[in-house]
Amino acid sequence: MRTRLVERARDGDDVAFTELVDLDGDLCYGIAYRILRDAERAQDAVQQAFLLAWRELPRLRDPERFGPWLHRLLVNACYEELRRHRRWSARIRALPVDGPSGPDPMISVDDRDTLDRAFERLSPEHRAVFVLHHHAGHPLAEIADIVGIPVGTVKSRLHYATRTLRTAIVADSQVDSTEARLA
Amino acid sequence: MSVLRDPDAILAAWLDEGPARLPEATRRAIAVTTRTTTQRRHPLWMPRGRPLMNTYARWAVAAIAVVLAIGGAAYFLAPAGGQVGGPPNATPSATSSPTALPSASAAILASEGFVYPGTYVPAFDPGLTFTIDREVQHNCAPGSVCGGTIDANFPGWLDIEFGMPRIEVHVVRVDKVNDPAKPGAVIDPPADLAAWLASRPGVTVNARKAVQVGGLAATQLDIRTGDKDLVFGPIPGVADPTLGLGANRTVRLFVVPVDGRHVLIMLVAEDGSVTELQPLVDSIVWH
Repeated sequence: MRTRLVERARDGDDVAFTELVDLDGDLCYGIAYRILRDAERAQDAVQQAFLLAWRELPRLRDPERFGPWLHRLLVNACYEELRRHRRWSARIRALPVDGPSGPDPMISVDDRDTLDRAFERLSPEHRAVFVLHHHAGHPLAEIADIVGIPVGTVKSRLHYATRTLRTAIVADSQVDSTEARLA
Repeated sequence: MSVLRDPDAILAAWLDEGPARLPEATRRAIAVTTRTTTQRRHPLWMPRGRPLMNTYARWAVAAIAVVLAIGGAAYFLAPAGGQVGGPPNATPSATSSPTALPSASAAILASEGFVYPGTYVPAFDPGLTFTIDREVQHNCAPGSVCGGTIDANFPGWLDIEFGMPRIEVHVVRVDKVNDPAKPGAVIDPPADLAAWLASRPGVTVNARKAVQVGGLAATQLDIRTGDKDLVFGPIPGVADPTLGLGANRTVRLFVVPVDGRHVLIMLVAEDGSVTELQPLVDSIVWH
């Protein structure tokens, strides 16, 4: 069904493309939000990615590859958002988003802050690999295809990002314990 | 309320946080821009509505499509000079001949997908290698990988694209051209193909100079097309699209005679920044 929609959209059918947006929009938004950690910029990135997808779709030879191709456009749009907003965004922190997948009450405020800060320090490339794997569930080979790097580089980026975030939590826990003992 | 202390569980829960649904306003905005944005339909090549390549070409390309060398985290284009290619403005030689053989480690280019740093042997005939070893910075966010993809890899046509919006290098063998005097008919390309291309209707030549490509004498043309699309002729072994240029494009062309055949190299960039592709041309070695 999706392949047929891609073929129709490739032929200029904007209704078919809208259906593709309906099918893929939520996942794209989820990926963009998690890379950018900002709802508004994530919406901009998603819109930019879909606009590019529509414009370039006639050049996509294999409709089966629409998903990875779209995610590639999305990741590039996220990179662009990060570059564009890097200067002023450092001073602005996005509030946690409410809703069905809003703040998890099982995570402490300190942990959330710690992870937010650690994630902010990751490069866009590390963020993208981490989110594409752990949130979108892409296999490593597919991430290599999406991001345009060898699988080995995907593995090392994933390892670095995961270790950085995990270490931040553990370090934070140790500080908490020390402070508790001092108190 | 208990609080998680397992780092992996915390990490997973944190990653799960976030909006689940793309807002309606964004969906509407996408729908509006879709309706008001024209799709980019073969700006270089005039579509005929037939499959891009014939079955033979498909199988031939598939049979040799093996990527041997993959590495690096960024896309690179070759620096000028070095062991491959000649300087773009070198003095041509009337007796020039194909230069050094490709390195033994050159990889066969896959039929489609990403290209990685290395020296590649495409399916193109006459044979050539090209090298990618310097980053293409075209509209790339700092530090990010700027994807290069293979869009076509056939004996008559090689197309590799970089960046976003794309900048493209096309290598096309010109066996026939359209007969200007007889619509629908094709003829052998003229001896001075560069002059013939420069004289197409609406074409403005900004610069013409003698150069070398892979050690062979060639002609470089920096041109701008007019208000109408141009169709030059067929692409060997490819039913569709045909060889041509879209209207109002700034393009750098290289016409290279190779063993009695005409090879046309086209550097195309929507924003005219064709010089970013020059190192790839400089890296070409014929064999």
